[in-house]
Amino acid sequence: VSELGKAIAALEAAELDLAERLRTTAARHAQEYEIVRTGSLLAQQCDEHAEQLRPFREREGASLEREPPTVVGTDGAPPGLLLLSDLRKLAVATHDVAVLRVMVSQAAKARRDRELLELCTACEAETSGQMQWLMTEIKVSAPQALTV
Amino acid sequence: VILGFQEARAENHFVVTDRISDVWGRRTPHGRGSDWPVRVDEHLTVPEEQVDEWHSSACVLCSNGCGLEIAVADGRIVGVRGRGEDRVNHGRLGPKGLYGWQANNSGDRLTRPLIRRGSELVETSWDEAMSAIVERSKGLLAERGPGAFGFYTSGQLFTEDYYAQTLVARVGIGTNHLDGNTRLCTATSDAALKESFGTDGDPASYEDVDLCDTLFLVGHNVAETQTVLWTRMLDRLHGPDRPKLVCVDPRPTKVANEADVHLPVKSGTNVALLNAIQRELIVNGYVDEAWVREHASGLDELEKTVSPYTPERAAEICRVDADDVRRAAEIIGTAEHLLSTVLQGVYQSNQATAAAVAVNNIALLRAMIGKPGCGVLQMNGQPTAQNTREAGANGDLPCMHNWANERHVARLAELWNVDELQIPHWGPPTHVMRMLRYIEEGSIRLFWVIGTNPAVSLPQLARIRSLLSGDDLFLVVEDAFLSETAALGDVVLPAALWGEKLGTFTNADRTIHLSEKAVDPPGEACTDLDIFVEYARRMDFRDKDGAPLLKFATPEEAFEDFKRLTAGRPNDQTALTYAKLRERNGIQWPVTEDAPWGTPRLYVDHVFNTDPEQCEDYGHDLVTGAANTPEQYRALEPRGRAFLKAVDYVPPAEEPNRDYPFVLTTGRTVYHFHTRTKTGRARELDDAAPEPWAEIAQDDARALDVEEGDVVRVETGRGFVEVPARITGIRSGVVFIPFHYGYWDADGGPPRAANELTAMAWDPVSKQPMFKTAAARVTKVRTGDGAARAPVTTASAPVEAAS
Repeated sequence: VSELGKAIAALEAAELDLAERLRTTAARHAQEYEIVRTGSLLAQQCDEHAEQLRPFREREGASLEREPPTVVGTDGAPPGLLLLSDLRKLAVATHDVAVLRVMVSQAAKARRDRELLELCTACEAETSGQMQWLMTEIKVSAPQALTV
Repeated sequence: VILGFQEARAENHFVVTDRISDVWGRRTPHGRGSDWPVRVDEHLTVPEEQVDEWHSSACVLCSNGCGLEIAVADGRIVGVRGRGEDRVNHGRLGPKGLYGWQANNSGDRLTRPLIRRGSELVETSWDEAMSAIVERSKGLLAERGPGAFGFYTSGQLFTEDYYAQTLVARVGIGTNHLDGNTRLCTATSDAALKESFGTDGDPASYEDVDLCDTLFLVGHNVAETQTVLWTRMLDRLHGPDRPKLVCVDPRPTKVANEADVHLPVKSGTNVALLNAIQRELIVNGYVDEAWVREHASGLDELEKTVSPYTPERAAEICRVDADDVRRAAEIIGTAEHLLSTVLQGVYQSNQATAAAVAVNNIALLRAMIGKPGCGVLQMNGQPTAQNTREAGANGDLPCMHNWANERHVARLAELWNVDELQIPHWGPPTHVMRMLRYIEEGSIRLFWVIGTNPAVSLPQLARIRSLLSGDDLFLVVEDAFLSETAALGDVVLPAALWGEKLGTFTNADRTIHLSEKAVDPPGEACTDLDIFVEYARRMDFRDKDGAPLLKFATPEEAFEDFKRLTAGRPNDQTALTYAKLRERNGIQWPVTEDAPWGTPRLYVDHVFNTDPEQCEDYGHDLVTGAANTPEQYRALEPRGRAFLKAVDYVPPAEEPNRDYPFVLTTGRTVYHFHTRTKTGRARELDDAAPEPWAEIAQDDARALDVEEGDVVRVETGRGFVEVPARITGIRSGVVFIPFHYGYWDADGGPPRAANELTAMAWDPVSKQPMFKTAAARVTKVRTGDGAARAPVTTASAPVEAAS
C-alpha cells in the first residue's frame, strides 16, 4: 500500500466521519431548521466526496479503516450551548478534512495525477463552503448561548 | 393631457366607485410612452358637501402606496379619494384602499392599556402599563442582559415610528434581536437586491410600466396583491403597441389569463425554470456580452451552472411544456424594454433568494437596467416594508449601513454619539424564526410585538401559540385591536392608526409619501413613536455625554434625525423635508441637492453599489446561507459591477408523498390584507370574502368525491383545517388556502388558519419562511350547503366561471 493510498483512505474516512457527525447533529437539533436542512445537504456533499475518492484509494491498494465517531451525550446542557458545542466539533472535523485534502492534493501534484488533483480542487471549494457555513452559524449562536 | 373623471356619482351625491365587483375599474388604455390617464376613485359615506377637511396621505393596505386624501367630517374619517396628481396611482384606488379605512372607526378599537391579571387582561392606566414594562425591562437587563429582549414589528408603521424603535432596541437596550413581519413578505426582496446590486432599493420605477415592451411577472399575482399596479399594466395590455407578458404562477390568475406565455410551474421549482431561461438567453445569443463583462461579474460561472438546464430538463422538474419555456425565453430575449417583477411565489418558496437573484441576473444579462422602460421591481408585500428595512426595524442597520463594515458602524456611533460597542454588530440581525427558538429555549424573556399578528401569520401556529403563551415570557403588544396575539399579551398598549398620526413611508418603487394626521386617535390610544419616546425616557437611555439617546419627540424631529443617517447612502434624503412633501406628495429617493425632486431610476450610469465601502452586505452562498467575510468580498473585486450568481436547483425539503400527496400553497385574496385586522372590519371587504376556503383542481375534486362547497379537511404534519372547497383551474395536485383568516371573528368550530399547516422552514439567505411548499392531504368531511363563499372575481373563481 502506498503512503498516498493511506492518506487518501484517511481523507475518505474523514469525509465519512464528517457526514455522520452532520447527520447526528441534525438529528439532535431537530427543532433547528437550518441545522437540519443545510446539515443534511452538506452531509450529502461529504458522502459524494468519499464516493469519488474510493476508486483512487482502491487503485493505491489501500483499505478503508474507520471507527464510527464517538458522540458525547447531552448531559442535560441547554439546547443553545449544546448546539454551539456540536458546531464547534463539526468545524474541527471539517478542518481535519481540509488538512488531509491539502496533503493528498500536494501529492497529486507531485505525482502529476491530473484526475486526483481535479477532484481535490472541486471538493476543496465545497469543504471551504462548509467551513464558511459553520463559522456563520457559530458567530450567530455564540453570543446568545454564552451570555444570556 | 387627458382629463380625469370620476367613475360614478349617485343621486344622493355619495360617490360610489365600486371596487368589489369591479376590482380594477374602467380601462383607460394608452400606448407606450404616453402618460397614464388619470382616473379618480372615491368612496364617501356622507354627502360630499358634509366633508369638513381633506388630508393628504397614501394607502397603507398594499405595497403600491397609492396617493389619496382622507375625508373628515365631525372629527371622523368619512371616506377617501385617490390623488389624481400622485405619480403612483394617478387617482386610482383598489378595494382595500377604498374601503379599508373604515376599520379606524370600528367600535372595538383599543382605547386604554390592558394588563394581565392572572388569566385576564384588564384595563389600566398608561402609567401603570409603562411602569410594568419598564420594571421588567430593568430587571431583565440587570439579570440577563440585552440578549433577553426581542422586538418584532410591522410593515404598517411610519419611518419615524420604526426609527425610534430601532434606537430603543439596537442602542438603548443594545440587542440585535429585532425583526419585522417584513420577514414574511419582503425579506427576500431586500436580500436579492443586496446580493446582486450591493444594497437594498429597487432599480426601476412604476413609470417603466408605461415605457416597457415586455413584462415578466414571476410569482407575482399583481392583479390581487397590487390592484392599481395591475390596472396600470392592463391599460398597456389593452392599449396600442401592447407589451408582451410572461407569467410564472401555478394558479389561473388574471395575470395568467392575459399572458402570452403562462408557466404554471410546480411550486418550489422556480430556480430550475429560471436557470433554463438564462441558458436559453445564452445559447441563443440574447446576452449583451460586452455590457455584461463591463458591468457585472460572474458570467463564466453562471454559464457553467445554467448550461445543463435545457428547456426539457426544466419542463420535467417544473412540470410545464418545454416549448413554453423556449417561447418565454424568446420573448424575454428579444425584448427591447424588459420590466420584471417578483413577489411571494418566489419569496415564500423554495430557494427564494436564489430565484429572486436569477430574475436580477436576467435583467443584467439583457442589459435591461438603469434605462427607461427597463429594470427589476423586487416588490414588497406591505406599504411601509421599505421603511422597516431602511429605518433598521427589521434588524438591518439603518440607511443601508453594513453591520460587518466597521467604518459604517463607527459612522452610526458618531451620529448617535454612542460607543461603537453599544451597537451590536457581531453578526446578522436575529430573524424572527430564530427569536422564536430563543423564546422556546427561554433565553428571550421579553418579546415586544408592534402592529402585527404572529399568532396567525407565522408558520406552525400550534408551536407559535404555545411559545407566546409561555410563563417565562413577558409579551408586550402594541396594537389598535385585541388581535389573536394581543390576547396573549402581558401588557397591551392601544396604538394610533394611519390617519391618526403624522409620518412618512416609502413604497416599493422608492416613493416617499407624507401621511397627515386627519383625526385624533380614539380614547387614550397613542402613536407608536410616542410610546417609544416615553419608554426611552423612563428607561433613561442616554448617549455617551449623558444627553437623552432619543433627541426627538415629534414626527418631524424624528424624520430630521433619521435624515442625517441617509447622507451619502443610496436612500439619501438630505434634500427632503415635510414642507417639500406638502408641496408635492410622492417623491422617489434619492432626494439630494443634485436631484431635489427625486430620482426615477437607480444605476443609470451602470455603476452598482457593490464597492466594499458602499455595499450593505458582503454576500452569501445562496445554497447554504454562509456569509462572506469582508476579505472574501474584497477578493471578488466588485468595483461597482453587479454580481451574477446562479445555483443548481435543489428540491424543496418537503415534497408530496404517499401520505401527503398534495402541494399546499398559501396566499392572498384581493379583498384582504395580512390577518384581516383592518380589512375584516370593513363591511364591503368582509362581505366579499367572509371566510376561508381551499382551492383544488377539477380532477382532484372528482377523485376525492368533492363538489363545490363541500367541507374538506386539509392536513399536514403540523395540523389540520376544515374549510369549504372551491373548485378552480388551479394545477392538479396543488391545494391553495388564503392565509388571512384567524380566530378573532370565528364562531368556534374546527381550525381554519392556513398557518396551522405550514412548516417552520425558511430560505437560507433571506430567512423568509416557505409558505408556498408543504406536503398535504385533502379529504372530504361532509357535503356543503352551496358554493364556497370565496371571491369569483379573481384567481379563486370557480372553474366554470374561469375564462
